[in-house]
Formats: sequence, structure tokens, C-alpha cells
Amino acid sequence: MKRFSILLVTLLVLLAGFGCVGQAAEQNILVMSVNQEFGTIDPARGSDYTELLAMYNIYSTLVFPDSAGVSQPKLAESWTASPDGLTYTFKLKKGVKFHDGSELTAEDVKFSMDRMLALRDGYSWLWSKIIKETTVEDSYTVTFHLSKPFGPFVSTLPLFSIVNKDTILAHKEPGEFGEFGDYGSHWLSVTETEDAGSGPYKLKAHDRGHKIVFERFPNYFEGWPHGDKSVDEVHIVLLHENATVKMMLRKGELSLVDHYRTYEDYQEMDSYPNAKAIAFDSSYIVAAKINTKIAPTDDIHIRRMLAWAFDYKMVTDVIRKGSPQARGVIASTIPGHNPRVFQYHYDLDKAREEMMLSKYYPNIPDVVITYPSGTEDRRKMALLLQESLTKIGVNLVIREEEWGRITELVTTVETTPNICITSQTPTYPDPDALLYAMYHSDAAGTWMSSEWLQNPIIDQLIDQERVTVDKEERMHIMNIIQQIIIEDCPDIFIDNMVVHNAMQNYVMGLTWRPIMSAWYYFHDLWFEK
Amino acid sequence: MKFSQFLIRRLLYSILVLLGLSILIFTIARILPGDPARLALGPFAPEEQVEHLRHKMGMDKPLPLQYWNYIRGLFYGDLGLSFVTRRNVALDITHYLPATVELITMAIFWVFVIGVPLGVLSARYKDGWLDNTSRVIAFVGVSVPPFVVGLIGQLVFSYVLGILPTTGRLALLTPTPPTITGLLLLDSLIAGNFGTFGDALKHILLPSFAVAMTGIGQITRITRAGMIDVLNKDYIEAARAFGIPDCYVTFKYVLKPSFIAPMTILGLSFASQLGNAFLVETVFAWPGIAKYGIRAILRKDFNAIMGVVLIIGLAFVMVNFIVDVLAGYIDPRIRIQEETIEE
Repeated sequence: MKRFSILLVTLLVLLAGFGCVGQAAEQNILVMSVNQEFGTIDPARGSDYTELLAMYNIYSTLVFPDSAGVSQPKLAESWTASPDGLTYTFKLKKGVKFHDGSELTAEDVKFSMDRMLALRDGYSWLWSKIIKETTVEDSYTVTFHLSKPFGPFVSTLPLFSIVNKDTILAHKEPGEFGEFGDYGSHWLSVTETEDAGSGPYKLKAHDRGHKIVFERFPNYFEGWPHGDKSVDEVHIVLLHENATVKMMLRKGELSLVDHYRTYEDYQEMDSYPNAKAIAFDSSYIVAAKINTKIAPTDDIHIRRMLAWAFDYKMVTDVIRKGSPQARGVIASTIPGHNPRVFQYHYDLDKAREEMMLSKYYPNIPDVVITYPSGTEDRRKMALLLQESLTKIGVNLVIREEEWGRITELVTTVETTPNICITSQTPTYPDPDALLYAMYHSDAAGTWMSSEWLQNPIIDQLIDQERVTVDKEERMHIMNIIQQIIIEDCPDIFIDNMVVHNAMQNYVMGLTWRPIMSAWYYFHDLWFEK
Repeated sequence: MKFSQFLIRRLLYSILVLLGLSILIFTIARILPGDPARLALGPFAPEEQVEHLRHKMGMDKPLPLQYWNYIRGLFYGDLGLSFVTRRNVALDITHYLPATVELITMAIFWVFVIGVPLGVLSARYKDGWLDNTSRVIAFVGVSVPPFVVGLIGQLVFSYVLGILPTTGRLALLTPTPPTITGLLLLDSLIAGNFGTFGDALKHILLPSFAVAMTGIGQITRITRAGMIDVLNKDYIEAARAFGIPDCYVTFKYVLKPSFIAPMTILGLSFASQLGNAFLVETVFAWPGIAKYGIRAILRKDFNAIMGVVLIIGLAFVMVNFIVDVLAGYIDPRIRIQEETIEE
């Protein structure tokens, strides 16, 4: 008993006395939650939302989108495109420093693109069939030579980060790329305190599976307009459990909550006296993607029947309150959205009329709908549609599937379900990002293209807009594509997701940008304490 | 059987078990739905880029050859590349494993210091108020899922009382000690950084207790049952009649022979929690291997799945071995019986 008492007292002393560490000088520290680990911080390899988040803050890009999705100069001072659309010449800003103090030049830009294309990972696919060569004209001028015109080329460049050539080569290891070794890819996969960037923040620490820490780069070329109020350090913590996130926000341990929590969670967090929730009209569209090649959804009348039978208002008013109904495949926040495309509404009479025009009527085969497991709102949408279809005598079979299983099912026409509810957002702020990935025959076989549209007219139009350099002409072609899509009805466009974030009241400046993770640009933020 | 013979035999059995496990998991991982290369690169990547990654990861080779290459790599400590982190799984495991080992070691500590004494006292004061109270504690421990215990603990101690941290292994601004073992408590002591030690201790209290609750319930009841059985033996009555102090009788003559079963449970619990602690790790944002394993399954990260399962298998094998040796040490009758059979 005596020994136990001594042990207990020792434990209490340790807890009370020695737990008091880390009382640092006053710094603006932003603590953010995410629900997904940082797989890699190599900008040539990353492609998911946390990896992009790291990329945008540690590295810099030639251009960066504004709130309207229009590419604005960043590292580039200006650029020109040749009339035939085969060369793009960028003039770089002078005096831009990497985190090691060296200057960013055209050599680094060329090296970064060569590296991206050589590693064949991440977003390299955007340029692998387009860029023939990158040349350095002078220290601050770089030219991309394209093998064919590519209208959205500049829109794709926010996904191309510039790395420090000297730093990368100083850390190279033996590899398959000749004099460049492994292009420093092993070093970037293991480093926990170093990076090769020029972005507003440097990598300070990376505790995999737990958190990543960025610290302010004082010599960032865009300066720090908010001065002492700017964020000095960012701690991004991996938190899956929503209850934990809410608790931490309420206690003041979290500054910013990511956008992957439930609507009810954000409502609750908004009610905390120390916190607020904000909402952005995002570039995400939730759609029920219809397989146009298997019975009965191969019949256009069945597809239109489904579009008329969906209760959109229940989604926008209840299930995902505040999200506006989608109008077409392109969200209103993306340049190129056609606001005049037809928008379906809930009308069972019209649904019945379409059903009766179908070749399968009166014996409509079962329609199978699937959605990723763990997505409660999509389960409700499936139930909503099932209820409506029951009223007109059509049976909807609901199947919840693991995401991995869905990606496997959609690789062939026969195994792709009739309907699959997913959300999509463009990789770059241009309608081409969705139109090509969803509707071009070359892109078939992924979850993005489970419609199996394979429409030669659509293919031709998409091919045409991709090689058109004139912006207005491109937009005109894409407007036509959007209209044809609505007429052909390969999707039920449900809602334009509203993205929510919650944060402490003193966090200011979170600015929407319509590509994945681009609004988590911490240089925008400041604390108003 | 001599100890050296015992050791060799167990080693051979262990290798066979691990080999069988590796074949089973290798096969299962590959028939799980989903294309890991496509999952890693996303839906927009063209087919040739996906093919390139499949080729780089060796997925285009025949399955037996893939398996052989994997086993060959094991001898060099190469567990293959992770689709998600793009680095060797061995590196990932050295990062995540210590966090879970530290968590469940602390949990086993709680099970030992709470469960065993509670079981002893329950047996000693059978059917008294202490026995009844421990019965309730045991049932609650076994019935309530560990992650619920964790959430309640966070709510009470972290949110309401504010005396313990909510998540993580260290406070945000606490410096991480130099990595020697990856066990923060040990590394901070080695570095002489007592501040960090205290902070790490504060952080591990709630999650380790959440993991320990089920074990406390089990060990309490098993210890009690074992001790009641031994208490009725003649030699105990004889020991008491000879005037041996009650405390001595309880711990040396009663607890010792009845400790085989609780020790076995403790050992198996340690090994199984390497994979089962993922819900507690999720609640407390604990960067452990259990959570890493679940992520690997969901992303169909073959090599990571193999690595995690082999580590857990190895842990079971090692723990079983240690438990068997300790059983022979605690109960000499086991050693004598085995030696007699051999002769």
C-alpha cells in the first residue's frame, strides 16, 4: 500500500509539474483539422486534397486562380500564346526566393516540368501528351512547346508547382533518370523538415499519420500584407472523429475545421460562442450518373423519367440544406458555366409520360442504384428516388458499395450499375476538366465516366474545344456540349454542393477558389484578436 | 525437453505460421475489389499512366512471381512500396508501429495494475461489496466499446474538467525528443527531457485507459475465477494452518499458480490490439499502425496490408513464445511435466 501511494504521488507530480511545456512566445498559430493523411508532399506526385493543400502552401505556381476561377499571374509576370496555340511563353517575376534563399529562375521551371513528365505520377497526365519540350529563353523567360493546341493549357498550370532544381539535385539518389538519378523523389518522400519550394510556408515538421506543420517564410515574394496578424505557423492535424473535432473547436484547440464534416456538425459549430461556420458555393456537383448502355437506362426516355422523378427540393431544403439545385454539369462558380441549360424539376406526371414512351414499357426492368458506403446524404438521395419511382410502378434496387468496389465495377459497361451517385469537381478551373473526363470516349472506364456516353458528336465537340485557343470560341463550343448533355440526359444533376468550413471567430480571410484545396491558401488568412 | 530444443522447435513452427499467413494475406489482398493503381492516381489519370504504375509496382507479373519477389525482398528489409506514401512500407511501419506499441504497453500496464489486484480482492472477499463492485466494473469494461470509453473520457476529462488533452501524443508546441525507439515516454527519458515526458504521459493516459477497459474486465474475472479455484485446495488450508501470513499465502501460493490464464490473455491481448486499436487511435488522432492498416485496406495498398499483417502475425508468434516460457517459469509443474513426457 505504501509503495502504491509513493507511485501515485510520483505520477501526479509528473503530470502536474512536468507537463507544462511548450509555452512559446505569442505567435499566430492556425490549427486545422483534416480527415485524410498527407500521402506525399512531392508536388510531382500528389493528387488528393491534402497533398494539394501542402503543394499550394509550400510551393508556388506560374498562375493561381482567383475566386471566379480565372488564372491570375503568380510567379509569372505575364504570358503570351502563339496564334497557333503551340507555344506559351512566360515571363517570370524577378527576385523570387526559394526557401533556401536562392533565386527562382526559368531553369527551375524547365527542370520542374521535365521532372513532372519523367516521374509520370500525380498530375503529369495533364501535360504528358501535350508538352513536347520546355525551353529556357533567358533567366526569366521560359517557353512551353506543345505538340498540339490545348485550349485549357493555362488553366491547368495551378497544378504545376515549381521546385528548386539545385535542392532536388543535391538530394538525388541513384535512379532511372540518368544524370538526375531518382529526381530527388526518395528524399521528398522521407523528409520531415525540408522542402524545395518557394511558397508562403516552409515545411517545419511532418509527423506522418498525425500532423504536418508549416512555418511562415518571411521572404515570400508576395509579401505579408497582414503583417503581424498573418499566420505564423500552421498545424494540420489528422482527425477522423467528428465529435473530437467539435470538442476541440469548442475548447479553442482547433482554429479551422475542414469541409468534410456533416451539415449538422457545421450548424452546431456555428452555435458555439467562440466559433463561426461559413459556406461557399463550390465547384462540386452531386450527380446520379446513369449508365447509358445497359437496360433499361440505355433508353433515353427512362433516363428522362429518372430526371423528372427526382425530388430536388427535398435535397436542397432538407438533406443538403442551402445547396442550390445544379444546372447542368458545370457548377456556377466555374468560368464556362452555361446558365441557360434546361433544369429538370420534380414532376411525376412528366416522369410517367416519359416512362410510357419507353420501349420497355409496361415491363420496366429493375433499375440498380449504387453509392459509396459511408455517404449518408447519398443514401438518402437513393431512398428519395426509390420512393418516387415506386409511385409510378418502377422498382429501384439500392446497393451500397465500398468505394474500391465501385471503382472496380465501373471498368466495364456490363458491371457498371444503372445509376451511381457521386460528386465531382474539376481538376482545373475549366469546363474541359469535367467534360473530357466524364463524356469523352477516351476517358471511359473510370468512376467519372460511368455514363459510358460514347457519343461521337460529343467526342468531336470536345476534341474541337480542346484545340481551340480563342477563349470565346471555346466557351461557345462548351455551351453547346452542355446543352446536348442535358438533352441526352446521361446524369441527374442534383445539387451544386455548398462547402462549409468552421473556424474560430478571430480567423479571417478564407477565400474561395474553385479547384480542390485551393481555398486553403493560408497566405490569405489573418487573425483578428 | 531442453530449452534449446524448445527454442528451435518454436522457431520452426513460427516460420511456418508466418509463411502460411503471408500466402493467405497476399492472395486476399489481391482479390479485394478495386484497382490500387487507379485508386492512387485518381480517375483522371490516363490508362497508360495507371499501367506504368502497375508495372513499377510489379503488378503486371504473374502472382507467384510477385509473391516470390516480395518474400525475397523481406530478407533485405524491403517490404515494397506503398501506393499511398510512395515510400517503402518498412519505413512507414517504423514510423507508425512504436506509437501503437507504446499505447498498448501502457494499456497492458493498466490491465495489470488494476485488473489483477481487483481480481485478487474479489476472490479474497468473495461475494462481499468489493466483489460485487468489481463485477459491475468488469461487465462495463467488457460491454462498452473502447472507443465509447474514449469519447466519454475526452468529454469528461478533456472538455468538462480540462485536465487532460483531447488528442495526439504531444501538445502542439512540445518539442519532440530525438527518435531512438519511437516510444515518446522512453525517448524523452533517455534525452533527459522530463517536460516532454510529462506531456507524453498526460496524452497517453486517456487513450491507453480506453484500450485497457475491456482487458481490465476480462482479467478481473479470470483472476478471480482462478484464485477461487486454488483457494479451495488443501495445501492452502495447510499453509494457513501453519501460520503463514495471509498476504504471503494470497500472492505466492494462490495468485502465482492461477496466473497462467490471465497472463495468456494479457499476451494475446497485446498482440491483437496492434490491429484492433484503430477506433481508439481514430478518436484520439493517435498515429498508430492499426489506423495505418485500416487505411491500407480501404485504399487497397497491397504492400502496406502485407506489412501490417506480417507484423501483427510476428507479434502473436513472439508473444505466444514469451507467454509459454513465462508459464514454465511461473508454474514449474509445466516444465517438469514436459521433461517427464520427453523422457
